[in-house]
Amino acid sequence: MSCENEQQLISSLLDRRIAGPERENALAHIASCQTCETAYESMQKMRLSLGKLNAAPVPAELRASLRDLAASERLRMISRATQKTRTSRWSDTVHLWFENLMRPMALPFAGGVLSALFLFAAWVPSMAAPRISGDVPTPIMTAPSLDRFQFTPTDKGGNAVVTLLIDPRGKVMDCQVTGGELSPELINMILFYQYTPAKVLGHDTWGTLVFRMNEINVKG
Amino acid sequence: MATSILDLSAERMAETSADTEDLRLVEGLRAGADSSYEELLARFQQPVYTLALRLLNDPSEAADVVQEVFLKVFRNIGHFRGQSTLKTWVYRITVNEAHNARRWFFRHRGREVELDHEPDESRNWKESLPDKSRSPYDLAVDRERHAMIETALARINPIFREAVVLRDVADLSYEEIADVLSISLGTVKSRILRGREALRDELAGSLKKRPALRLVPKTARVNL
Repeated sequence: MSCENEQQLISSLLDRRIAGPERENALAHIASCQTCETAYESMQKMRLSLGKLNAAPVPAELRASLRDLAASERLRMISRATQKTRTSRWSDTVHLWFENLMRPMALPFAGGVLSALFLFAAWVPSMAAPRISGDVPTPIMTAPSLDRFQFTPTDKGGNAVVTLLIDPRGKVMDCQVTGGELSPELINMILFYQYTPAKVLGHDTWGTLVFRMNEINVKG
Repeated sequence: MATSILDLSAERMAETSADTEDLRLVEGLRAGADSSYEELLARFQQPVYTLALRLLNDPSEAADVVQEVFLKVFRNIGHFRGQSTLKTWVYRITVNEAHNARRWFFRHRGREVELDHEPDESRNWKESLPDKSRSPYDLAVDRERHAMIETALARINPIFREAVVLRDVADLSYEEIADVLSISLGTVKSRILRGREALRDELAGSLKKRPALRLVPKTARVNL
């Protein structure tokens, strides 16, 4: 062991910070080394002298002022504790009063809220616009038309064009051949068909239907 | 091995009882119990004053610091959570207050002229009574040695002085010093070592300056 770290070892030895073999080695070194022994002893004496500084008598004035300070601080603590207790008691009272006030109202309030929710849920669907399935849009005016299923194609009509006047009941009231030539069979067929009358704002009315053999043209 | 276990358990029991005592005292202070206030003063006024005195080397400054310390202790006892012992908590406040006082002193009063009377003159009658167990010579030597140590202590770096005073004067453990100064154990060890070295150098220097004082104790030792 060298004397390089003697001061640290001596300091640790004095403070009992090393133990076991390390302590034994350090003590053995100190016993064998004159420099370290002197340093150890002087450090020990210095430490003892420092320890004697521990008993500095407290001046009487300081003792008295500390007693006064303690007394005043004690009173302050008590008054603070009292104030704190008073505040906490007042807070408890308010809390209890509020709870007592709310407790009888809790059930009716909850019932009211639930009823309101239920009624609202029941009422909301009725507010929606009714959806009618298969609704046909109603234009302001519609022309008369012929039900296609009644029409049986024939090759006897050629390319004749017939203008028909349809009454509100869907019957042909007048017939005028405007082009081509019609056979009597075809004229009978046209006359006895059931037509859909023209409509104005949903009401049946008179209308004109242009009838061709190969197609049907509707005019106003 | 059995001895070490017993020692450990005894230490632990002592720590537990100290903690319990601290808690009881703190509870009493919080409740405003008169006896707790008296007990706190009885336990701490002397060590706190000594610590402040050794850190500042000025009795009047130390007295002011002690009052500040106890004011803080009384006012903040509600914030004491028991994470450290009451002793280290009080010592930490003392060290911080002494530090503040020293800074204040250097800023404001460094150039003032001291008009106060000597500290020895303010001693009470108990202190001035003769101690019959020791000879006047021993007392004189002791007083001289005290004065030398105090002077040397006042000259070393305050950072190292704090560590040395807490270890060698207040007799705190390394762990307690680390707690008080809020530093690591390694730093505590290093500061104590450097403080002791500085103190030894200061003492050696003062002895060299005053050879007469150096001779007196040596002669006494030879005679013994």
